[in-house]
Amino acid sequence: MRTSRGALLRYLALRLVLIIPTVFILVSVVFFFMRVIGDPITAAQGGRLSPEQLEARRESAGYNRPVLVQYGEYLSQVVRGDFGTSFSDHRRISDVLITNGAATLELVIWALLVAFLVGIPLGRLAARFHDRIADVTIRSFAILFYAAPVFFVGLLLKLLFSSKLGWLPSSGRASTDVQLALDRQGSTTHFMIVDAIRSGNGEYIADVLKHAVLPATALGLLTAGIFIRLIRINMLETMRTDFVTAARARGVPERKVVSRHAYRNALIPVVTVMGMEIALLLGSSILTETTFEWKGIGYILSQYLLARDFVAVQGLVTAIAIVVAVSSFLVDVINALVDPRVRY
Amino acid sequence: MARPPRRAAAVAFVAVAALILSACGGKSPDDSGADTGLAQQILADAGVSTPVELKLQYNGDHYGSSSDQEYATIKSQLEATGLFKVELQQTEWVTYNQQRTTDYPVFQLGWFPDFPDADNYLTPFFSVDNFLHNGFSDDRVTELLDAERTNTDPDARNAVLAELQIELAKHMPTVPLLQGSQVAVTGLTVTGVDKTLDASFQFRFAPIVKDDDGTAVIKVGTTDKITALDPAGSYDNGSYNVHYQVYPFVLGFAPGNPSPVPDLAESCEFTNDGSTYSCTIRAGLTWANGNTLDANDVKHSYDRQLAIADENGPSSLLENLASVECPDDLTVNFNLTSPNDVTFPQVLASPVGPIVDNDVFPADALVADDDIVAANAFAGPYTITSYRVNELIEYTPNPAYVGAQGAVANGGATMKYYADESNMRLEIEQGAIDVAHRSLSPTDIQALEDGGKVNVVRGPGGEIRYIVFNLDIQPGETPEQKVAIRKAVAASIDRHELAEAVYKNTYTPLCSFVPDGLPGANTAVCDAYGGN
Repeated sequence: MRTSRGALLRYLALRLVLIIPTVFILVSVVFFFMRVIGDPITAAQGGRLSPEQLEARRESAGYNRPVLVQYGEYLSQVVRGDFGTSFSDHRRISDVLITNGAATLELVIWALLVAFLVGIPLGRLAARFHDRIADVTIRSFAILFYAAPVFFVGLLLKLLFSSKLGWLPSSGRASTDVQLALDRQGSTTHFMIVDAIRSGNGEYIADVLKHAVLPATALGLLTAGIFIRLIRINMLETMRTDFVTAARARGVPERKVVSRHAYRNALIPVVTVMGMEIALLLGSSILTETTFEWKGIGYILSQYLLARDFVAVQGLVTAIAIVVAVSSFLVDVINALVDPRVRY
Repeated sequence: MARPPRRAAAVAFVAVAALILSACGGKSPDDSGADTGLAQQILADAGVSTPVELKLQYNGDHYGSSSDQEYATIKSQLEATGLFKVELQQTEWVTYNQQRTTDYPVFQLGWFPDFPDADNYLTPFFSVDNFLHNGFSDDRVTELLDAERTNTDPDARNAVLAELQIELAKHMPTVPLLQGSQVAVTGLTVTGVDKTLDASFQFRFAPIVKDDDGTAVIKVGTTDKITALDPAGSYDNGSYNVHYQVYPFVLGFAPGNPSPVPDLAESCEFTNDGSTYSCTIRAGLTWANGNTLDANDVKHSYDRQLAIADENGPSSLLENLASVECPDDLTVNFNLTSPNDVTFPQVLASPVGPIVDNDVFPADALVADDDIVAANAFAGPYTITSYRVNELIEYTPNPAYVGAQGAVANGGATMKYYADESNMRLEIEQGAIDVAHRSLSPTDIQALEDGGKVNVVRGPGGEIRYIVFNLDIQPGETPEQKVAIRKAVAASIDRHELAEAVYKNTYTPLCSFVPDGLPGANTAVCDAYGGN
């Protein structure tokens, strides 16, 4: 037992240490890719300044120094949590990460919630009614969820539930009055739902939840499609395993076989996939956030890209890479704890 | 460089429909504003072989997705004459902005004025070192530009402006196409928007009222974006709209009046043989944070614009300002490089004109938005009491304001920033906002107007759209042939069709270089090449 626990700790420590080269490679790739296009000042201001002004700006910002010197300085900044300041709106990227990052994280959490609530029960249902109408229907929906572009789903949801039926707001994270009231509370967490709960006002909480429904659904259905297929396949595989056959032979009722044995085992791959899904959700959030005026990292990243604000883009992409690497590590930890088949 | 027009997107099927219509014949240039016979004659007289091949660059992501349809229509009109073969090219905005002055022989441009004066549509484009860098230079034009800029007699100046435009129509370095209207969509119980959609092109919140209730807060929406609250760090519509609500100016625009009137100033006049523009500042003014507001703040504001000269800022507008002096706390003297500059009062009321608190804004560095809000460094009609950049701003009336914009007629305002105009359209329809200003697409505006749930308010617009020729690399073997090609293009375009079919009359034909509604405007181009 002690040996096994020691091996687990060694495994986790190794995974933790591996984050450092992973992030280092990601940061380096982002930095050098950005420099291939040119220095950030020329990229952003090239047509607006004379060559002399441009050179002066490059010099004052240090972009006329050797790339490796700039790279070393950038690495030291990143280590200190300083991702620079954007050219286009003069905001510190660390501030952007806090304010817009919180919005994106909130959206991703809502989307995962939708994915779980939709994906897991439907996947289970599809496996339960294997190759019957319910299974075929659910599988078709799963493909549709996964294949339909998130902005298209978002547009349809908006047209139906907001424009046509008027049940839900079409955009934003809260109504104007609610957002201002939450801002007036002071010391905002930037998580709208947390701020609403802190206010203790039921109307504010309801307003924030109503605003989250459509974007969370649009983004969550994408992942739900994957979950449905994953749960279904794993449940079917598990149902064919020896221990399930043995359980049935022991007279365990079918419902218990499904819920206690097949279902629990089928959930394990979901944890693994979740790690990868976080990267997918962060990527897809650009479209969701733009569609629903959800001012998160994805939205601001698209704005900086359009402005060719490469300092901002570099900072945000680096931060996203770090988040994805850390998420992968956390998923590895959870996997190691819940899945005895993971070898370490 | 002036702020270009904001996006005015159109639905893709409209563009497709227009293409189908034009492919099916549509409206021939000869039964509309264009004059094909004249175009043919001009090219024949200059010995230009036809069809002339034109590579026409445009940019839909900056000048609005309706540009696709606009330029498809222009191509169709030009090719229908049989005189031109047009190749349309499009590239993303930053590259377009960088390459247009060097690489593009013919290209689209939009212009939103820095201030509402004829000169702002002329000097930037047609002076020797114009910002287009298109190789245009003409002694007579330069002479007339100097004359209009320093002529203090309005009637005499208008005569110069008229002659100048007739002269320019002989060269046609740019082809004026369309003039935009200001459009705001409002809730049915909202009034006062018509008072601000005037020829000063400033959107003020102060005169807007909802439900006839002077305490109601007005909710406004826009797709514009803020670059910076610091006036030295931004030069765009989104930022300037905020500046206009919260900062004082030496001179400003009273609703309904496109000529600058005193804001912080009590009075201003040219002195020292026109070499100095001297203003007396009102006594007893304070910033919302309690700091004293006087002539020292004015000098500080202009000095720091020149010192910082940020690439995103408007300091280029101060080209004619040599220095600022402050002989006492209530007097400020602007010493000019060229005397009797009649546009200088307009410059004081332009994006370079917001006055900032010299206790909050350092002389040589920009201030972050949140620091400005925290310092409450405002003295315009409103102060900002809540600020989320490009998301939501809360404006609270400033009771101490006594300037050009007049008394605030509402209980405050909020400004919500949209990434997508379709979301703004939905929210104005659903009553989530009271006013949608800049920019809904022409099709959205038409649909909203037809729906009857909202009011559409229009006012004169200063935004213009035109085609620019780079004289150095445009088609044509000789200077005479190049002029002939430019004139023939001017004669072949039907502006009415562009205004009606593409922009649903949210734009009107632009028949000269100075847009209709401003002193000095005429119809020199349409008079010469048809299209009236």
